[in-house]
Amino acid sequence: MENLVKFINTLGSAAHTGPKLKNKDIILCQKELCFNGIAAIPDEYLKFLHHFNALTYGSAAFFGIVPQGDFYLDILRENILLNHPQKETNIILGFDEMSYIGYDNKNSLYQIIDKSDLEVLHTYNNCVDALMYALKIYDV
Amino acid sequence: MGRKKKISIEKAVREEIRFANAIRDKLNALSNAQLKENDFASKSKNYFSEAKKAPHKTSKKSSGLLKEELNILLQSTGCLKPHVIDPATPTPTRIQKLMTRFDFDGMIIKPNENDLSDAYSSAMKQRSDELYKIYGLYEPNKYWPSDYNLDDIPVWQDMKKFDTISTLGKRLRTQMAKQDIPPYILPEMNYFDLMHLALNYLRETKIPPFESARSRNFKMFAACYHEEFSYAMGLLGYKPQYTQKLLQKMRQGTCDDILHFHHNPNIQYCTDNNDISKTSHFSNMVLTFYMPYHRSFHYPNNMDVNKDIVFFGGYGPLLQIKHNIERERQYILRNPIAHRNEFKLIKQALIPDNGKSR
Repeated sequence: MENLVKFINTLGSAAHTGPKLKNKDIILCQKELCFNGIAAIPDEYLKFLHHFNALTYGSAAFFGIVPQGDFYLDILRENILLNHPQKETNIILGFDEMSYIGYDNKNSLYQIIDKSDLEVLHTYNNCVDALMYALKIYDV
Repeated sequence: MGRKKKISIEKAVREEIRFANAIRDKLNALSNAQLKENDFASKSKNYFSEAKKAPHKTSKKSSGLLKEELNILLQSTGCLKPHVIDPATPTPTRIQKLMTRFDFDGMIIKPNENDLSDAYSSAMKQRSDELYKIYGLYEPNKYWPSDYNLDDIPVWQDMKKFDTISTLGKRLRTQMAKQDIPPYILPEMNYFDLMHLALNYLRETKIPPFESARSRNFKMFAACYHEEFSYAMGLLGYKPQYTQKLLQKMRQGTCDDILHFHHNPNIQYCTDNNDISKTSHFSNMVLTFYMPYHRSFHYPNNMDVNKDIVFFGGYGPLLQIKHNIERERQYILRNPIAHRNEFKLIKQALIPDNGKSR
Protein backbone atom coordinates (compact mmCIF):
# COMPACT_ATOMS: atom_id res chain seq x y z
CA MET A 1 0.00 0.00 0.00
CA GLU A 2 2.85 2.39 0.81
CA ASN A 3 4.31 2.05 -2.69
CA LEU A 4 0.91 2.66 -4.25
CA VAL A 5 0.37 5.74 -2.09
CA LYS A 6 3.81 7.06 -3.10
CA PHE A 7 3.00 6.47 -6.76
CA ILE A 8 -0.37 8.23 -6.52
CA ASN A 9 1.30 11.19 -4.86
CA THR A 10 3.53 11.56 -7.93
CA LEU A 11 0.52 11.94 -10.24
CA GLY A 12 0.03 15.58 -9.33
CA SER A 13 -2.88 17.30 -11.08
CA ALA A 14 -3.73 14.18 -13.09
CA ALA A 15 -5.41 12.70 -10.01
CA HIS A 16 -7.99 14.34 -7.75
CA THR A 17 -8.94 13.62 -4.19
CA GLY A 18 -11.23 15.11 -1.53
CA PRO A 19 -10.53 16.79 1.80
CA LYS A 20 -8.55 14.77 4.36
CA LEU A 21 -10.59 12.59 6.67
CA LYS A 22 -10.53 12.33 10.41
CA ASN A 23 -10.97 9.05 12.26
CA LYS A 24 -14.39 10.11 13.54
CA ASP A 25 -15.60 10.67 9.94
CA ILE A 26 -14.69 7.09 9.10
CA ILE A 27 -16.28 5.71 12.26
CA LEU A 28 -19.50 7.61 11.58
CA CYS A 29 -19.52 6.38 7.99
CA GLN A 30 -19.11 2.77 9.10
CA LYS A 31 -22.02 3.23 11.52
CA GLU A 32 -24.19 4.71 8.79
CA LEU A 33 -23.31 1.88 6.40
CA CYS A 34 -24.25 -0.71 9.00
CA PHE A 35 -27.46 1.14 9.89
CA ASN A 36 -28.44 1.16 6.21
CA GLY A 37 -27.76 -2.54 5.82
CA ILE A 38 -24.60 -2.15 3.75
CA ALA A 39 -21.41 -4.12 4.33
CA ALA A 40 -18.57 -2.41 6.20
CA ILE A 41 -15.55 -0.87 4.50
CA PRO A 42 -12.71 -3.44 4.57
CA ASP A 43 -9.55 -2.70 6.60
CA GLU A 44 -7.18 -2.38 3.64
CA TYR A 45 -9.46 0.13 1.94
CA LEU A 46 -9.67 2.07 5.19
CA LYS A 47 -5.89 2.46 5.05
CA PHE A 48 -6.33 3.85 1.55
CA LEU A 49 -9.03 6.25 2.76
CA HIS A 50 -6.70 7.63 5.40
CA HIS A 51 -4.43 8.75 2.56
CA PHE A 52 -7.03 9.65 -0.06
CA ASN A 53 -10.62 10.63 0.58
CA ALA A 54 -11.86 9.39 -2.79
CA LEU A 55 -9.64 9.37 -5.84
CA THR A 56 -10.19 9.94 -9.55
CA TYR A 57 -7.49 9.19 -12.09
CA GLY A 58 -8.12 8.52 -15.78
CA SER A 59 -11.30 6.53 -16.04
CA ALA A 60 -11.06 5.17 -12.47
CA ALA A 61 -12.86 6.59 -9.47
CA PHE A 62 -12.72 5.38 -5.87
CA PHE A 63 -15.22 6.37 -3.23
CA GLY A 64 -14.55 8.34 -0.08
CA ILE A 65 -16.67 10.15 2.49
CA VAL A 66 -18.60 13.04 0.99
CA PRO A 67 -15.57 14.26 -0.97
CA GLN A 68 -17.58 16.74 -3.04
CA GLY A 69 -20.28 17.70 -0.57
CA ASP A 70 -23.01 15.57 -2.15
CA PHE A 71 -23.64 12.01 -3.23
CA TYR A 72 -20.93 11.89 -5.87
CA LEU A 73 -18.17 9.49 -4.82
CA ASP A 74 -19.59 9.27 -1.30
CA ILE A 75 -19.29 5.60 -0.39
CA LEU A 76 -22.57 5.47 1.56
CA ARG A 77 -24.74 7.31 -0.97
CA GLU A 78 -23.19 5.65 -3.99
CA ASN A 79 -23.93 2.22 -2.48
CA ILE A 80 -27.47 3.33 -1.68
CA LEU A 81 -27.98 4.35 -5.31
CA LEU A 82 -26.35 1.22 -6.73
CA ASN A 83 -28.42 -0.98 -4.39
CA HIS A 84 -26.39 -4.15 -4.85
CA PRO A 85 -28.65 -7.19 -4.31
CA GLN A 86 -26.18 -8.56 -1.73
CA LYS A 87 -25.34 -5.26 -0.12
CA GLU A 88 -25.32 -6.82 3.39
CA THR A 89 -22.13 -8.67 2.48
CA ASN A 90 -20.89 -6.69 -0.54
CA ILE A 91 -19.80 -3.07 -0.80
CA ILE A 92 -18.84 -1.17 -3.96
CA LEU A 93 -15.61 0.78 -3.56
CA GLY A 94 -15.26 2.40 -6.97
CA PHE A 95 -15.53 1.95 -10.72
CA ASP A 96 -13.94 2.42 -14.10
CA GLU A 97 -15.66 2.80 -17.48
CA MET A 98 -16.99 -0.76 -17.64
CA SER A 99 -16.74 -2.29 -14.15
CA TYR A 100 -17.33 -1.73 -10.46
CA ILE A 101 -14.66 -2.59 -7.90
CA GLY A 102 -16.29 -4.22 -4.92
CA TYR A 103 -15.51 -6.15 -1.77
CA ASP A 104 -17.15 -9.39 -0.70
CA ASN A 105 -17.04 -9.55 3.10
CA LYS A 106 -18.14 -13.16 3.21
CA ASN A 107 -15.22 -14.46 1.17
CA SER A 108 -12.80 -11.60 1.92
CA LEU A 109 -12.24 -10.94 -1.77
CA TYR A 110 -12.01 -7.80 -3.87
CA GLN A 111 -14.08 -8.12 -7.02
CA ILE A 112 -14.20 -6.78 -10.57
CA ILE A 113 -17.94 -6.58 -11.29
CA ASP A 114 -19.63 -6.05 -14.64
CA LYS A 115 -21.66 -2.81 -14.48
CA SER A 116 -24.42 -4.11 -16.75
CA ASP A 117 -25.39 -7.30 -14.92
CA LEU A 118 -23.26 -7.33 -11.74
CA GLU A 119 -21.51 -10.55 -12.75
CA VAL A 120 -18.27 -11.03 -10.83
CA LEU A 121 -15.59 -11.22 -13.53
CA HIS A 122 -12.48 -11.61 -11.41
CA THR A 123 -11.36 -11.52 -7.79
CA TYR A 124 -8.28 -10.43 -5.90
CA ASN A 125 -7.41 -11.28 -2.34
CA ASN A 126 -5.74 -7.95 -1.70
CA CYS A 127 -6.83 -4.35 -2.09
CA VAL A 128 -3.71 -3.07 -3.82
CA ASP A 129 -4.10 -5.42 -6.81
CA ALA A 130 -7.74 -4.37 -7.25
CA LEU A 131 -6.83 -0.67 -7.03
CA MET A 132 -3.98 -1.08 -9.50
CA TYR A 133 -6.25 -2.88 -11.96
CA ALA A 134 -8.78 -0.07 -11.92
CA LEU A 135 -6.08 2.62 -12.07
CA LYS A 136 -4.50 0.77 -15.02
CA ILE A 137 -1.06 0.58 -13.47
CA TYR A 138 1.26 -2.39 -13.15
CA ASP A 139 3.69 -3.20 -10.36
CA VAL A 140 4.68 -0.15 -8.34
CA MET B 1 -21.67 36.39 -35.06
CA GLY B 2 -24.91 38.41 -34.80
CA ARG B 3 -25.83 39.71 -31.38
CA LYS B 4 -29.16 37.84 -31.37
CA LYS B 5 -27.49 34.53 -32.19
CA LYS B 6 -24.85 35.09 -29.49
CA ILE B 7 -27.54 35.76 -26.89
CA SER B 8 -29.49 32.65 -27.85
CA ILE B 9 -26.32 30.54 -27.58
CA GLU B 10 -25.54 31.96 -24.16
CA LYS B 11 -29.14 31.31 -23.11
CA ALA B 12 -28.94 27.72 -24.38
CA VAL B 13 -25.72 27.12 -22.44
CA ARG B 14 -27.21 28.55 -19.26
CA GLU B 15 -30.23 26.30 -19.66
CA GLU B 16 -27.96 23.34 -20.23
CA ILE B 17 -26.01 24.02 -17.04
CA ARG B 18 -29.28 24.45 -15.13
CA PHE B 19 -30.59 21.16 -16.54
CA ALA B 20 -27.39 19.29 -15.71
CA ASN B 21 -27.50 20.66 -12.16
CA ALA B 22 -31.12 19.54 -11.87
CA ILE B 23 -30.10 16.00 -12.83
CA ARG B 24 -27.29 16.01 -10.30
CA ASP B 25 -29.61 17.44 -7.67
CA LYS B 26 -32.18 14.72 -8.34
CA LEU B 27 -29.55 12.00 -8.03
CA ASN B 28 -28.43 13.55 -4.75
CA ALA B 29 -31.99 13.74 -3.47
CA LEU B 30 -32.60 10.17 -4.54
CA SER B 31 -29.66 8.90 -2.51
CA ASN B 32 -30.67 10.93 0.55
CA ALA B 33 -34.32 9.85 0.24
CA GLN B 34 -33.27 6.22 0.55
CA LEU B 35 -31.09 6.77 3.63
CA LYS B 36 -32.48 5.60 6.94
CA GLU B 37 -32.88 8.48 9.38
CA ASN B 38 -30.61 8.52 12.41
CA ASP B 39 -28.85 10.98 14.66
CA PHE B 40 -25.27 9.72 14.23
CA ALA B 41 -24.04 12.68 12.23
CA SER B 42 -25.78 15.37 14.22
CA LYS B 43 -23.55 14.65 17.20
CA SER B 44 -20.49 16.15 15.58
CA LYS B 45 -19.64 18.61 12.87
CA ASN B 46 -17.90 16.99 9.95
CA TYR B 47 -18.15 16.67 6.20
CA PHE B 48 -20.60 13.86 6.63
CA SER B 49 -23.14 15.86 8.57
CA GLU B 50 -22.70 18.85 6.26
CA ALA B 51 -23.89 16.77 3.30
CA LYS B 52 -27.05 15.84 5.13
CA LYS B 53 -27.79 19.47 5.96
CA ALA B 54 -27.51 20.58 2.32
CA PRO B 55 -30.93 21.70 1.11
CA HIS B 56 -32.70 19.34 -1.25
CA LYS B 57 -35.96 20.63 -2.60
CA THR B 58 -37.11 17.16 -3.46
CA SER B 59 -35.68 15.29 -0.49
CA LYS B 60 -39.09 14.54 0.96
CA LYS B 61 -40.38 12.79 -2.18
CA SER B 62 -40.39 9.06 -2.38
CA SER B 63 -37.51 7.44 -4.19
CA GLY B 64 -39.94 5.93 -6.71
CA LEU B 65 -41.25 9.35 -7.64
CA LEU B 66 -37.74 10.77 -7.88
CA LYS B 67 -36.67 7.98 -10.25
CA GLU B 68 -39.71 8.65 -12.39
CA GLU B 69 -38.91 12.36 -12.52
CA LEU B 70 -35.34 11.58 -13.52
CA ASN B 71 -36.50 9.28 -16.31
CA ILE B 72 -38.93 11.88 -17.64
CA LEU B 73 -36.26 14.57 -17.57
CA LEU B 74 -33.74 12.40 -19.38
CA GLN B 75 -36.18 11.24 -22.05
CA SER B 76 -37.40 14.79 -22.61
CA THR B 77 -33.96 15.66 -24.02
CA GLY B 78 -34.78 13.71 -27.18
CA CYS B 79 -31.29 12.21 -27.39
CA LEU B 80 -31.75 9.44 -24.85
CA LYS B 81 -34.13 6.52 -24.79
CA PRO B 82 -34.45 3.59 -22.39
CA HIS B 83 -32.44 0.59 -23.43
CA VAL B 84 -34.58 -2.40 -24.36
CA ILE B 85 -32.95 -5.77 -23.90
CA ASP B 86 -33.29 -7.93 -26.99
CA PRO B 87 -33.93 -11.49 -25.79
CA ALA B 88 -32.40 -12.81 -29.01
CA THR B 89 -29.05 -11.14 -28.22
CA PRO B 90 -26.66 -13.68 -26.72
CA THR B 91 -25.00 -12.74 -23.44
CA PRO B 92 -21.23 -12.69 -23.60
CA THR B 93 -19.39 -15.16 -21.38
CA ARG B 94 -17.27 -14.04 -18.44
CA ILE B 95 -14.10 -14.62 -20.46
CA GLN B 96 -15.47 -12.65 -23.43
CA LYS B 97 -16.26 -9.78 -21.06
CA LEU B 98 -12.68 -9.87 -19.75
CA MET B 99 -11.38 -9.90 -23.33
CA THR B 100 -13.47 -6.84 -24.17
CA ARG B 101 -11.98 -5.00 -21.22
CA PHE B 102 -8.46 -6.08 -22.16
CA ASP B 103 -9.01 -4.78 -25.69
CA PHE B 104 -10.47 -1.50 -24.46
CA ASP B 105 -8.02 -0.55 -21.73
CA GLY B 106 -4.98 -2.72 -22.42
CA MET B 107 -4.74 -3.86 -18.79
CA ILE B 108 -3.55 -7.44 -18.29
CA ILE B 109 -5.61 -8.99 -15.53
CA LYS B 110 -3.42 -10.63 -12.89
CA PRO B 111 -4.53 -14.27 -12.60
CA ASN B 112 -4.92 -16.02 -9.28
CA GLU B 113 -3.26 -19.39 -8.85
CA ASN B 114 -6.55 -21.26 -9.04
CA ASP B 115 -7.46 -19.49 -12.33
CA LEU B 116 -4.63 -21.23 -14.18
CA SER B 117 -5.27 -24.49 -15.97
CA ASP B 118 -3.91 -27.69 -14.40
CA ALA B 119 -1.77 -28.34 -17.48
CA TYR B 120 -0.11 -24.93 -17.34
CA SER B 121 0.38 -25.03 -13.58
CA SER B 122 1.98 -28.49 -13.84
CA ALA B 123 4.25 -27.35 -16.66
CA MET B 124 5.48 -24.41 -14.59
CA LYS B 125 5.97 -26.51 -11.48
CA GLN B 126 7.88 -29.12 -13.45
CA ARG B 127 10.18 -26.46 -14.92
CA SER B 128 10.98 -24.98 -11.55
CA ASP B 129 11.69 -28.46 -10.16
CA GLU B 130 14.07 -29.20 -13.04
CA LEU B 131 15.92 -25.93 -12.58
CA TYR B 132 16.23 -26.62 -8.89
CA LYS B 133 17.74 -29.99 -9.62
CA ILE B 134 20.31 -28.47 -11.93
CA TYR B 135 21.50 -26.16 -9.09
CA GLY B 136 21.60 -22.99 -11.08
CA LEU B 137 23.19 -24.30 -14.27
CA TYR B 138 21.70 -22.71 -17.32
CA GLU B 139 19.31 -25.00 -19.14
CA PRO B 140 18.82 -24.22 -22.80
CA ASN B 141 15.24 -23.75 -23.94
CA LYS B 142 13.66 -26.94 -25.17
CA TYR B 143 11.28 -25.17 -27.53
CA TRP B 144 11.28 -22.43 -30.14
CA PRO B 145 8.48 -19.88 -30.58
CA SER B 146 7.74 -21.47 -33.96
CA ASP B 147 6.87 -24.72 -32.16
CA TYR B 148 3.65 -23.16 -30.92
CA ASN B 149 0.42 -22.77 -32.88
CA LEU B 150 -1.86 -20.48 -30.90
CA ASP B 151 -4.86 -21.71 -32.88
CA ASP B 152 -4.55 -24.89 -30.79
CA ILE B 153 -5.73 -22.85 -27.80
CA PRO B 154 -9.55 -22.74 -27.91
CA VAL B 155 -9.87 -19.28 -26.30
CA TRP B 156 -7.46 -17.78 -28.85
CA GLN B 157 -10.16 -18.09 -31.55
CA ASP B 158 -12.07 -15.26 -29.88
CA MET B 159 -9.00 -13.35 -28.77
CA LYS B 160 -7.44 -13.03 -32.21
CA LYS B 161 -10.53 -11.29 -33.58
CA PHE B 162 -9.51 -8.17 -31.66
CA ASP B 163 -7.12 -5.84 -33.54
CA THR B 164 -5.28 -5.22 -30.30
CA ILE B 165 -5.05 -8.66 -28.73
CA SER B 166 -4.08 -10.37 -32.00
CA THR B 167 -0.79 -8.43 -31.94
CA LEU B 168 0.22 -10.37 -28.83
CA GLY B 169 0.64 -13.61 -30.72
CA LYS B 170 4.40 -13.39 -31.30
CA ARG B 171 5.10 -12.29 -27.74
CA LEU B 172 3.02 -15.09 -26.29
CA ARG B 173 4.92 -17.67 -28.33
CA THR B 174 8.24 -16.14 -27.30
CA GLN B 175 7.27 -16.29 -23.65
CA MET B 176 5.99 -19.84 -23.96
CA ALA B 177 9.37 -20.90 -25.35
CA LYS B 178 11.15 -19.01 -22.59
CA GLN B 179 9.06 -20.76 -19.96
CA ASP B 180 9.51 -24.17 -21.64
CA ILE B 181 5.79 -24.69 -22.00
CA PRO B 182 5.29 -28.01 -23.85
CA PRO B 183 3.37 -27.37 -27.10
CA TYR B 184 1.15 -30.38 -26.47
CA ILE B 185 -0.60 -28.66 -23.54
CA LEU B 186 -1.89 -25.80 -25.71
CA PRO B 187 -5.35 -27.34 -26.25
CA GLU B 188 -5.77 -27.39 -22.45
CA MET B 189 -4.68 -23.83 -21.83
CA ASN B 190 -7.13 -21.16 -20.82
CA TYR B 191 -7.43 -17.36 -20.94
CA PHE B 192 -5.68 -16.86 -17.60
CA ASP B 193 -2.68 -18.91 -18.69
CA LEU B 194 -2.25 -16.49 -21.59
CA MET B 195 -2.63 -13.53 -19.24
CA HIS B 196 0.04 -15.06 -16.99
CA LEU B 197 2.39 -15.35 -19.96
CA ALA B 198 1.61 -11.80 -21.10
CA LEU B 199 2.26 -10.47 -17.59
CA ASN B 200 5.58 -12.31 -17.37
CA TYR B 201 6.59 -10.90 -20.76
CA LEU B 202 5.68 -7.40 -19.59
CA ARG B 203 7.63 -7.76 -16.35
CA GLU B 204 10.74 -8.97 -18.15
CA THR B 205 10.71 -6.57 -21.09
CA LYS B 206 8.76 -3.59 -19.65
CA ILE B 207 6.95 -3.42 -23.00
CA PRO B 208 3.17 -2.78 -22.64
CA PRO B 209 0.98 -5.41 -24.36
CA PHE B 210 -0.43 -3.11 -27.08
CA GLU B 211 -1.99 0.26 -27.69
CA SER B 212 -5.47 -0.02 -26.20
CA ALA B 213 -8.69 0.71 -28.07
CA ARG B 214 -9.28 3.60 -25.67
CA SER B 215 -5.98 5.17 -26.60
CA ARG B 216 -6.64 4.76 -30.33
CA ASN B 217 -10.13 6.18 -29.97
CA PHE B 218 -8.87 9.26 -28.11
CA LYS B 219 -6.37 9.88 -30.89
CA MET B 220 -9.06 9.48 -33.53
CA PHE B 221 -11.42 11.82 -31.71
CA ALA B 222 -8.74 14.50 -31.36
CA ALA B 223 -7.82 14.18 -35.04
CA CYS B 224 -11.38 14.27 -36.36
CA TYR B 225 -13.19 16.63 -33.98
CA HIS B 226 -10.68 19.00 -32.37
CA GLU B 227 -12.40 22.10 -33.76
CA GLU B 228 -15.92 21.21 -32.71
CA PHE B 229 -14.62 20.00 -29.33
CA SER B 230 -12.76 23.27 -28.72
CA TYR B 231 -15.92 25.19 -29.58
CA ALA B 232 -18.12 23.14 -27.25
CA MET B 233 -15.63 23.39 -24.38
CA GLY B 234 -15.43 27.15 -24.90
CA LEU B 235 -19.21 27.40 -24.64
CA LEU B 236 -19.08 25.43 -21.39
CA GLY B 237 -16.63 27.94 -19.97
CA TYR B 238 -13.41 25.92 -20.10
CA LYS B 239 -10.30 27.98 -20.79
CA PRO B 240 -8.78 27.48 -24.26
CA GLN B 241 -5.44 26.53 -22.69
CA TYR B 242 -7.09 23.73 -20.74
CA THR B 243 -8.95 22.49 -23.82
CA GLN B 244 -5.70 22.47 -25.79
CA LYS B 245 -4.02 20.58 -22.97
CA LEU B 246 -6.84 18.00 -23.10
CA LEU B 247 -6.51 17.68 -26.88
CA GLN B 248 -2.76 17.28 -26.54
CA LYS B 249 -3.31 14.43 -24.07
CA MET B 250 -5.85 12.85 -26.41
CA ARG B 251 -3.32 12.96 -29.25
CA GLN B 252 -1.11 10.87 -26.97
CA GLY B 253 -3.98 8.48 -26.22
CA THR B 254 -4.96 9.66 -22.75
CA CYS B 255 -7.29 12.17 -21.14
CA ASP B 256 -8.18 13.81 -17.83
CA ASP B 257 -10.58 12.16 -15.43
CA ILE B 258 -13.50 14.42 -16.36
CA LEU B 259 -14.10 12.71 -19.70
CA HIS B 260 -15.06 9.08 -20.22
CA PHE B 261 -15.88 6.93 -23.17
CA HIS B 262 -19.36 5.49 -23.03
CA HIS B 263 -20.05 2.34 -25.04
CA ASN B 264 -23.14 2.84 -27.15
CA PRO B 265 -25.55 1.11 -27.46
CA ASN B 266 -25.67 0.45 -23.77
CA ILE B 267 -25.38 -3.30 -24.02
CA GLN B 268 -21.61 -2.76 -23.76
CA TYR B 269 -20.93 -5.78 -25.84
CA CYS B 270 -21.48 -5.50 -29.52
CA THR B 271 -23.33 -8.53 -30.65
CA ASP B 272 -23.37 -7.71 -34.35
CA ASN B 273 -23.13 -11.29 -35.59
CA ASN B 274 -21.98 -12.07 -32.05
CA ASP B 275 -18.69 -10.34 -32.83
CA ILE B 276 -17.49 -8.92 -29.55
CA SER B 277 -14.35 -7.58 -31.19
CA LYS B 278 -16.36 -4.63 -32.51
CA THR B 279 -17.40 -3.53 -29.01
CA SER B 280 -14.82 -0.75 -28.75
CA HIS B 281 -14.82 0.38 -32.37
CA PHE B 282 -14.92 4.16 -32.64
CA SER B 283 -18.42 4.06 -34.14
CA ASN B 284 -19.67 2.60 -30.84
CA MET B 285 -18.05 5.27 -28.66
CA VAL B 286 -19.51 8.42 -27.15
CA LEU B 287 -17.09 10.74 -25.35
CA THR B 288 -18.78 12.52 -22.47
CA PHE B 289 -18.30 14.07 -19.05
CA TYR B 290 -18.71 11.59 -16.29
CA MET B 291 -20.91 13.80 -14.14
CA PRO B 292 -23.75 14.00 -14.63
CA TYR B 293 -23.97 12.72 -18.21
CA HIS B 294 -22.28 9.31 -18.22
CA ARG B 295 -23.84 8.68 -14.85
CA SER B 296 -27.30 9.41 -16.19
CA PHE B 297 -26.79 6.94 -19.07
CA HIS B 298 -26.63 4.12 -16.51
CA TYR B 299 -28.81 5.29 -13.65
CA PRO B 300 -31.62 4.99 -12.71
CA ASN B 301 -32.07 3.02 -15.95
CA ASN B 302 -29.78 2.06 -18.78
CA MET B 303 -30.26 4.56 -21.59
CA ASP B 304 -29.23 4.46 -25.24
CA VAL B 305 -27.69 7.61 -26.68
CA ASN B 306 -28.59 8.60 -30.25
CA LYS B 307 -26.25 6.66 -32.49
CA ASP B 308 -25.12 9.72 -34.45
CA ILE B 309 -23.56 11.44 -31.40
CA VAL B 310 -19.79 11.13 -30.87
CA PHE B 311 -19.36 13.80 -28.17
CA PHE B 312 -22.04 14.34 -25.55
CA GLY B 313 -21.12 17.67 -23.96
CA GLY B 314 -24.67 18.33 -22.84
CA TYR B 315 -28.27 17.25 -23.14
CA GLY B 316 -28.92 19.95 -25.75
CA PRO B 317 -27.76 19.66 -29.39
CA LEU B 318 -25.58 22.77 -29.15
CA LEU B 319 -23.06 20.89 -27.00
CA GLN B 320 -23.18 17.62 -28.91
CA ILE B 321 -20.96 16.65 -31.81
CA LYS B 322 -22.35 14.33 -34.45
CA HIS B 323 -20.31 11.67 -36.26
CA ASN B 324 -18.80 12.88 -39.51
CA ILE B 325 -18.63 9.54 -41.29
CA GLU B 326 -16.47 10.75 -44.17
CA ARG B 327 -13.93 12.39 -41.88
CA GLU B 328 -13.70 9.22 -39.78
CA ARG B 329 -13.41 7.10 -42.89
CA GLN B 330 -10.51 9.19 -44.16
CA TYR B 331 -8.78 8.92 -40.78
CA ILE B 332 -9.12 5.13 -40.74
CA LEU B 333 -7.81 4.90 -44.31
CA ARG B 334 -4.76 6.89 -43.19
CA ASN B 335 -4.33 4.67 -40.10
CA PRO B 336 -5.05 1.15 -41.33
CA ILE B 337 -2.87 -0.61 -38.78
CA ALA B 338 -4.30 1.04 -35.68
CA HIS B 339 -7.87 0.42 -36.87
CA ARG B 340 -7.35 -2.80 -38.76
CA ASN B 341 -10.84 -4.25 -38.50
CA GLU B 342 -12.55 -0.94 -39.25
CA PHE B 343 -10.21 -0.53 -42.24
CA LYS B 344 -11.25 -3.98 -43.52
CA LEU B 345 -14.92 -3.06 -43.20
CA ILE B 346 -14.38 0.12 -45.21
CA LYS B 347 -12.46 -1.76 -47.89
CA GLN B 348 -15.21 -4.38 -48.10
CA ALA B 349 -17.82 -1.67 -48.53
CA LEU B 350 -15.77 -0.21 -51.40
CA ILE B 351 -15.88 -3.46 -53.37
CA PRO B 352 -18.97 -3.56 -55.62
CA ASP B 353 -20.84 -6.75 -56.48
CA ASN B 354 -18.61 -7.50 -59.47
CA GLY B 355 -15.66 -7.93 -57.06
CA LYS B 356 -13.54 -5.08 -58.45
CA SER B 357 -12.37 -2.28 -56.11
CA ARG B 358 -13.74 1.17 -56.80
